[in-house]
Amino acid sequence: MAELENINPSVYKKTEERPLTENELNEDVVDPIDEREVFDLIRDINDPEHPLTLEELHVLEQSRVTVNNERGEVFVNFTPTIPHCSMATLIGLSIRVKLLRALPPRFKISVEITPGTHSSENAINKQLKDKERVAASLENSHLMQVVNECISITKQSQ
Amino acid sequence: MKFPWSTSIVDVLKNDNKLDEKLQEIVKALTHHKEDITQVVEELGPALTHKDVEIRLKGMEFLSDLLRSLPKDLLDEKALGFIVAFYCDRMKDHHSISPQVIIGLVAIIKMKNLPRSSPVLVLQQIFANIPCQTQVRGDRANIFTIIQYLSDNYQVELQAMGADFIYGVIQAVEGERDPRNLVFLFEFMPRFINTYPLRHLSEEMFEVFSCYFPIDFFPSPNDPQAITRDILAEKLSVCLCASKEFAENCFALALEKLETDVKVAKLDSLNLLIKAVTNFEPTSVLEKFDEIWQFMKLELLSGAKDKDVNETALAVISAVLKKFKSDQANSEIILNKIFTNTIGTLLNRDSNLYKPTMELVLKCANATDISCGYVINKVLPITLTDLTSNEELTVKEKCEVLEDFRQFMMIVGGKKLLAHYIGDNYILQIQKELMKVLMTPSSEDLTKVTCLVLQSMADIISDENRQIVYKSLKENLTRSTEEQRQCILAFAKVFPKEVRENVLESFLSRTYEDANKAKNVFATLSFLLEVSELRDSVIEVLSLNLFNNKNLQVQLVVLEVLNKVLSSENCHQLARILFDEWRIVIKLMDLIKNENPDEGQDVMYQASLVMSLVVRTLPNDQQMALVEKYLPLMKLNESIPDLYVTSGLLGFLDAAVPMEAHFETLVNELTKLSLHSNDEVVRKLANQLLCSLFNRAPIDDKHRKILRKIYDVIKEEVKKHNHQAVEILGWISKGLLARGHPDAAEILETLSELLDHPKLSKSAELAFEIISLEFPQLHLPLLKHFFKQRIFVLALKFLENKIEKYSEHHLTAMAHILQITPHQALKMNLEKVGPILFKCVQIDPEDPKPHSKRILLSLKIINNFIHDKNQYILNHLQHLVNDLLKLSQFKPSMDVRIMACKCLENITKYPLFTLVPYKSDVIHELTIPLDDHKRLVRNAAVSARMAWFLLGENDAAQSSK
Repeated sequence: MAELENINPSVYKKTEERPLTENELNEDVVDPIDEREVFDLIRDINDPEHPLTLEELHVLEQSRVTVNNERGEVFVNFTPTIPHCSMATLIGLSIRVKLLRALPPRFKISVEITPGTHSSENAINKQLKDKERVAASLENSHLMQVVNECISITKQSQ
Repeated sequence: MKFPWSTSIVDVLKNDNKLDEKLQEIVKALTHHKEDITQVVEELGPALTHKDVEIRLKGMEFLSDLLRSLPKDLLDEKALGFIVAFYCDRMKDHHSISPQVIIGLVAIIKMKNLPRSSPVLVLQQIFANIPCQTQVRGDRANIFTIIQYLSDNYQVELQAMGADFIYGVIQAVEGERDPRNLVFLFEFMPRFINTYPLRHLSEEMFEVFSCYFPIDFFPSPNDPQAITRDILAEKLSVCLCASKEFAENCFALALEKLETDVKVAKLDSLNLLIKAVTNFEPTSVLEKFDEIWQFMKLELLSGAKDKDVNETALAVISAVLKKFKSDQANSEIILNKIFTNTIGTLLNRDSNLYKPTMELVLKCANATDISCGYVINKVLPITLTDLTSNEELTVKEKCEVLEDFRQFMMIVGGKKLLAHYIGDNYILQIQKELMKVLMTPSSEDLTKVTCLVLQSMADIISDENRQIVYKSLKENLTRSTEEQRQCILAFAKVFPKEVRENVLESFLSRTYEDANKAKNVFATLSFLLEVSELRDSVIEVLSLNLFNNKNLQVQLVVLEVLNKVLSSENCHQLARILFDEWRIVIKLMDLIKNENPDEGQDVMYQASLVMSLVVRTLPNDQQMALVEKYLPLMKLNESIPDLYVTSGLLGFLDAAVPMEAHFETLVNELTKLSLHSNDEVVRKLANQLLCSLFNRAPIDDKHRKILRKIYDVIKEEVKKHNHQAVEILGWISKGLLARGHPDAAEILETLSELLDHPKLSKSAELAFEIISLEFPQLHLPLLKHFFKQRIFVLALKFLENKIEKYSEHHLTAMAHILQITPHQALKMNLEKVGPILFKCVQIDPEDPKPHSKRILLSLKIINNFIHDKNQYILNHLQHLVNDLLKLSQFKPSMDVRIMACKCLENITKYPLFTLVPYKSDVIHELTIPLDDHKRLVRNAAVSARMAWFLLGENDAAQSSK
């Protein structure tokens, strides 16, 4: 990448680790998959441009994640840092891939741009919704490398 | 005149191999003044002027050796003058002779009567005739030794040489490459530079050193002298700052090299800057500060950077400020330069640069008094106006502002100069803000931070505000948090009297009925035991509620508080006061004896613990006196409270206190109690005491006989299928094993055999668990090194042969032993242990019992080996991966499922080619735990599955780059 599109983004604090509750340690209580859990899965994805996580850049916020555990639906809105960000598709794809790998197969996953935050919002949403295109991009080894890097570097920084 | 050779000297040098002896003879003759050195030289003449270079070399060698062997004060001035002249003349000879000339000179110049004119002559001739850097390393070292010795001892003469001398030295030193010589030079040259004016050659001198900067050096692995890069770098930086004339060049050099990307070079440059700032004149520092700051700004305020570099850069700023620590005007110029452009970032808390800027502010405040004042007056108000004027600040942001302020207060607090600035209205404003929080508490976090801030500034809170603090603390005392307790402590340290009157008064000298309330109050009060002015009142109220209050719950609370306090590291003084002044041991004994054995069991147990903790801190003679006085009175078989008292007396008794007199009776009674009592707590106490007593008993015939007797009694009971007997065996063997007792093995073997017993196998399994567990209340005075290895070796010996027909009990017992065995010991025996471990983690679908504990223990051990990338485990991956996948869906225990996922995740660290065959299976199977009903299992499964997905992907990415 020759130049950074957004040179000095605002950086926000990370949310605290989810506190352990007694129920979570109790074998007999069922913990349903909730918004916080899904948010925890994706908040550490790295921004392709900066050494920062999507959470720190407020690309992802817990309030923009909705989960319906019974019906098996997950809906994530993400907000690009600037309206003409060319990385938006890549970010969306990374979120999608991470969720596909980390959530049980019974979930239907939708990833969309927060309405009104990107200049070519509809086009990108359409790309991310298109199963064929997502599947095709997963076959593209170069693209997968970039996505894997976004997903994996977080592991080292932990 | 008789020389010890008959033929000519030339022949002697050519053929004689006993030159050494002859040399010694001449040395002897010279020291006894039987001969004269000039004659010796004359005698050597034919050799020294021989036409063959070889012979001349040998002659010189002989002469130099001779001079080195002579006492330093033997030769007089005239003779030395003669020899020096001779040696100087020899330098013009063939180049192969010069090493010997140098060796001789090293000896000559150290002689006592050296003529004052000789040094100049020697150096002149060396500079003129011997190009130093073309010599081998050892000779160069000799030349440097000559220069160093002469320049240290003949300053006046050499200073008269003027620039020639400096120039000669520069020429000799320039281009030196050997690290050993460099260490020598770097140590000596700063002294040289300070003694001799460099005149017009200062820049040349600087160049001599600057070419090494930054040092790039890798010591050879088997270097005996172990010169490291850091040693060289440290010494070099001293040289670079040795002369005030280097200032200009030195700053330029450090700043130039800062631009590098190599971390060590950057750190070297920063360290050089620190040294330069400290050593050179303030004026030159001031001149250069603009440039320095530009670079530091780049290092400090441009996003994420290396931590070490960041810290060192801050240290540079700190060094600059310290340079001007008593120069108000210039300090302010510098601080203005630093903060004019950076202060803006402090207004935007979300900015990337907020944190580094805050760090800089704190560092500056910490540097000097002047800079601290500057920060208080000019910088902090900007950051803290938010707090006092911005109404829209969220609670979280407020907490952050206060936290920054607290860090600042910690620095100021350390400096003790606030009184100087305290008149400042704005510190009062901060106080007002803090008081607002206290009076109208809105959020827990905010109160917490406020307490922390107050704690850091306890000594400067104004009188009326203190009253508000006290009021708030008092109101919250019955439900106080850790922070509030710390806060009370901080104020109590400064104003003990006020705290007592305003906060504690109503809580002291009274008995409590409500145990919950008492719990919080006592927990807070126990913090104040540190403050000597309040200690007595606190102990008084505790003792009142323990001994004069019949409420069992409250008594229990007091005992628990005492327990906690006395378990901490530095309770020694308190324990002594409790023992000497409050006679707590005697009182506790009475308390236990008068307690109702049915209801007051918890109180008795806690009281005996407190007793043992106090006894522990006493000196041995006092411990002994207590035991001698009270132990004989105990009737263990008749009274339960006596058991608690005994436990309190002996619980943490020092190993050196002798027990022989009571040992047999005590052990017999305890065994009886433990064999026949139905009360579990009583049995536990008796067993622990037995364990501790057998652990400390000396290994002699008398005590072994006692042990044998007890053992026989227990064996009889075992035959009657008494489960308690097996339990006692477990405890006794635990005590014996820990000290490496010779009889321990036999008991362990009995226990191993009992694992096959139709009725007692379960108890035997428990006995193994007892051996493996650690009990905080159990005192084992004698611990042998490597006793855990010993237990493992013994257990393996007894159980190894039966591996084929292992029952569940065998596996569980073994798992307990393996759990305490050090990793290294397991590793050495992995061929034997491995099959057992694998067997432990296999689940039999037919088996109704879950065995979660055993599986979990074994999984943890396996995980450790996976972590080490152990080869043995790698060879067994095929079945292990399958077992782990099954365990990741193991219904009865979530801990097992989590551990199995962790193992699977760690397996991905093995080389890629060994894992590829399993990849698709693992990824597929792990979808099931992804939908586990427990969140923690799901988290572990996600990490494991992600790791398997990324298997090999990163390597591919790296290689393609």
